[in-house]
Formats: sequence, structure tokens, C-alpha cells
Amino acid sequence: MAISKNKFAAKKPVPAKAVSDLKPTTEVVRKMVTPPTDSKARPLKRPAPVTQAVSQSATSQVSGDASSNNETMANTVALEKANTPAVDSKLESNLAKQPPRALNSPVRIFQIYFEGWQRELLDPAFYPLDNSRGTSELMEFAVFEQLQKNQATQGATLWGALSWRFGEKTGMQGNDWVKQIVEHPGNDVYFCNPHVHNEAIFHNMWLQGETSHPNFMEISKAFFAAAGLDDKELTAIHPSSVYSSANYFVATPKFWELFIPYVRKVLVTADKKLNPAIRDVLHSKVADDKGLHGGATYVPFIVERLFGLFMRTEGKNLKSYKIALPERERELNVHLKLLREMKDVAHRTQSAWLAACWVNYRNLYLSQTNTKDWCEKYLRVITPTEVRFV
Amino acid sequence: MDFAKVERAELSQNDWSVDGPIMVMPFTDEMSASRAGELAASRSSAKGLLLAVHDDKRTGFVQVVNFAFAATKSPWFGYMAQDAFAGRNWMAIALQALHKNSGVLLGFNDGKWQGALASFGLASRAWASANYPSGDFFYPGYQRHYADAELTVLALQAKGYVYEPQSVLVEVDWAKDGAAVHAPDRALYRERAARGFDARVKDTSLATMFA
Repeated sequence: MAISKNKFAAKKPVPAKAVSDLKPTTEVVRKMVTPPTDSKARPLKRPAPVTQAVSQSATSQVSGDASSNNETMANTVALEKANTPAVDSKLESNLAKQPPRALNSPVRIFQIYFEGWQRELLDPAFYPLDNSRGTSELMEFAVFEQLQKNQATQGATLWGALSWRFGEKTGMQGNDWVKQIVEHPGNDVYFCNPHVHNEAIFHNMWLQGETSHPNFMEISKAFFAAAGLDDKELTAIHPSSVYSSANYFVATPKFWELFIPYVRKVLVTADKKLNPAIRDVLHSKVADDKGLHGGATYVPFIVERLFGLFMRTEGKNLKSYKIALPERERELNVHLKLLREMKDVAHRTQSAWLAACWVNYRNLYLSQTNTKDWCEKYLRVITPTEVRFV
Repeated sequence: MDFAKVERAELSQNDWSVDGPIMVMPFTDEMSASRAGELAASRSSAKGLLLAVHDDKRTGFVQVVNFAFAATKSPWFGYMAQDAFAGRNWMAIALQALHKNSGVLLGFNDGKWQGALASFGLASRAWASANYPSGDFFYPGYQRHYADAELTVLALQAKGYVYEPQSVLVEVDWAKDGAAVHAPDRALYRERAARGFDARVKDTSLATMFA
């Protein structure tokens, strides 16, 4: 379909959908693509998730079309404060259309997708969740908020919502993920870090963010100050065991009851107290200067990094289990393995000397694996002068 | 996909941010570009933008693609020509293949190279933008040929080249089989191949693949 130049020029960039990066899936899937509207062919229906005994009807309800639910929407509106975006009402309607009464599995893992062609990449162990109409700046976090209030998660002992790129990023199948949970009972939250190399080469994920999003540390520092958070978090050395990215959480209602209000409170407080100029930047697409994340603002990148801080503060009594990702671990070279171990030992022993050795080795590694321009731009910024441990 | 047709100069005047693939189609024949672009957009089965860019100053395919790469933002960026004929669901299938295989560059089924070379291709922007210090998509020394061959070799070296025969984007050029290769481009390719493409390609069999 042709469109005029003017029409496209006036069009705003498409809102962000997913925050992260790539890697392979071992999932065996059927070929199925959405046919064009003039085609008589129609895609086959996706089979119901098989891991937990859940009926086909429940699955289709969870991934059903939008309709209204005024009561739930009223709750959503009440959450909105200052500039912090509200959760997406259409997604909420979509979820609330018909309560998925047959969803009675104790572990309910949803998989968010946005386009028809992504359905083929979904894991049969999870419940497909169509978020094609989602427009929230908060991305996955908006889905968590919706799900928490929705019938779909009521009665579950554990639930979570992963992205359609779960298999690609983790190298795991959903069944294996669930197996890890079942084999390690008694935790409040199960999580992972698909970007394991970051554990070796960055003090923490805040400093890692500086290399991915322009002026991330400056924005984060202002955000922390406005939200009343301790900004020592931003430059301290974190152990690899707490690294997390992509918001891959499967957790108890108790975790969600603490984590969601915590994040919401932090966002609202920061928005209220931030300098307006910085607040504008916080909510701008400057964060995604290359358009690799669909024009996301700084907000989802900050939110996904709050998990570690939450677990050390308001969530300190919660038990967590980090699921290892063997496929990703295999990709680490010998230097990255040594660097990670070195940093962890420095953290465990609180050795400033070993931490300084790690920084030197790390900088040497980065200077060999990145361009001169990259090193000039980032090495100094990602190397705090003071050694501190969380 | 949406389809937009612009003059080259207009590229830098607008915000071309897309949460999906951008395919750039340099063109000199407006009628061909419209016909090919409209069909391809309608058959893509994916969200994104097909951007036909008028090469009014005849700077060449490589330069226009590089210019469009710099002027746009998207996680995926691809290239095709005004004589491309798209099969059904070509983009949806390509994206699935790239995600399934952790690919950085996909070669479409162009009806000619059988996957050996991404004459029409779709690349990860994160990967492509790190290939050359200049940030260009294609090595900027080429004019018409061999830029795609070099990109394919770089992707093979990175173990990220994907060929999906069901993703069809055929080059319909009735006269091309008899057309000569641009000699300076071939010479440049051989020279660069001999140096491992600035030491990026260690595998000598890859470096000499199209030389």
C-alpha cells in the first residue's frame, strides 16, 4: 500500500515493544505465518500449552481479543500519577474479556508477543499473550501490573510474563525453565540474566547501561536523587549472582505485591521531584538513539535494573533463585569466565586490591575487543574511581 | 509494512524511526519502484517500513543504502532493488529465521545465488553499525557491486549468516545475466579480501570466497 511522503513524514515513530537483544532458540516449531488479507488460507490454531494441564479454552481466553471491563480499568486509572505512564487499558481489556476460569495451574507463565509472525516463535510451555495494542512506556512492567490484577493470575502460586524472544535470549525451552523452578521449590522469585558477559565486564548493570543508552548514568543519578534512593548502588560492584536483565521473572504473589508497588512508588516519586528538563529526557526516546529498542524511553531501562536494588531493600526477606543459562554460559570465552570469577571473589572477600586488579584486566580486555573510539568514549565513564561493594 | 517513496534529500529531513525492519530500495525508475515496493509491502505480513529512495543524482546503490542507513532508526535494516519481486510473507519468514537462528544477516531467496550471497538482505542494525569505523552499512568504497558480497563474508565470519529459501525476494532483471561486473569494485573487493577485510575475516576460505 502506497502512502504519500507527507503522510509518513508526519507519522510518529512506532512505540517501543521490547527492550532487549538476541540469541538462539532450540525450540522445534511449525511453520506458520499470517497470510495476506486476500488469501483464502488461514493459519492453523496454535495448540494449547502443554507443560501445565490447562485447557485449550483457557489459552484462547488469555490470548483473546479486546473488550471492556470498567471495574478493572478504574483501578488502572487510580495508579497514574505525575508523568508516569498508566498501564495500557487495551491490554487490560484484552486480558479481562473472559476470566480464564480453566487456568488453574499453580505455575502460570505468559509469553508476550506483538505480531502474528512472532506466534510461531512462542514456547508451547507458556500461555500466549497478545500485547499488540500495548502502548505503555513501561513495556513489560505494564503487563505485570495488568496481570497482577487479572483473574488469570489469581490462585497461582507462581506467575510471570516473559517476552516472545525468551528462547532466543535464554537458549532454553519453557519446559526446562519450569523444571528448574520445580526442582528448586520455596523461592519467591526465579530470574535469570540472558546477557551473562555483562557479569564479567561491568561493575553493575547501571554502568553497563551507559554503553547502551546515552548519558544513562547522569539520568539514573538524577532519577535516584529524585526518588530518594541511595546512588551508591550506581557505582558499586555487584556480584554476578544478582545480575538480571530482560525482566524474566516468575514469582509468587507475595513478590509481585511488594515489587510492583515498589517500582510504581519509585517512578511516581522521581517524576514528581525531577527537574522538568531531566524529566523530559527521562521520558524521551533519546535513550534509544539507534532505534534498536523501538524508540524506548529511559524508563523501562531503569525499571529493569531496579530488581537488584529492590531485592536488597524492600524485598530483602524474599528468597530468590537465579536460573543458570547453559547455552549463554557456553558463549563466554576464557577471559570473561576469569573476569567474572575474579570480580565475584573480590566481592565475596571485599578485597579492594583484587577489585582494582579486576578493573585493570577488564580495561585491557575491553581495549582489545572494542574500537579506539569506543574506549575513548566509555572506558573512563564506566570505571568509578572508588571501589565499593554492595 | 508501510511503503514510502522519497527523494534522497528528504531522508535527512524526517524522523524515520521504526519498531521493526526498514528495507531501503534505491531507485531510478519510479514506476518500477512503485510496483515492486507496493507489492512487497502488501506481502510482507510484518510491521515495518519499505523506503524507496530516489537516486536522483545517480550516486549509486551503495551510497544510497549507506545514506538511508544513517538517516533511519530500526532494529533491522535491509536492502533491495527496484526490480525485486516479493513472495508472500517474505518479511515475516525472514524475521522468524533471523530470530530462530540468532542471525545478523539474512539473504533472501533472490532466484540467483541460492543463498551463497545476500544480494538482497536484511541485517541486524546493531551488528551492521559496528562493521566499519565510519558506521556505514556497506563498505563505502564500492559503487555498484561486491558490497553485498563483503557483507555476506563478514556475517559468515560472525557465524550469523542465515539463508531462508522460503523468504522470496527475486531479482527480476531480464538483461543482468549478460551485464558486466563493475571492474573497480571487483578490484577493490580483491584488495580488501587479501587483507581479510581490515583483519575482520580470519578464515582465508571466506576471504577468498568471491574474489
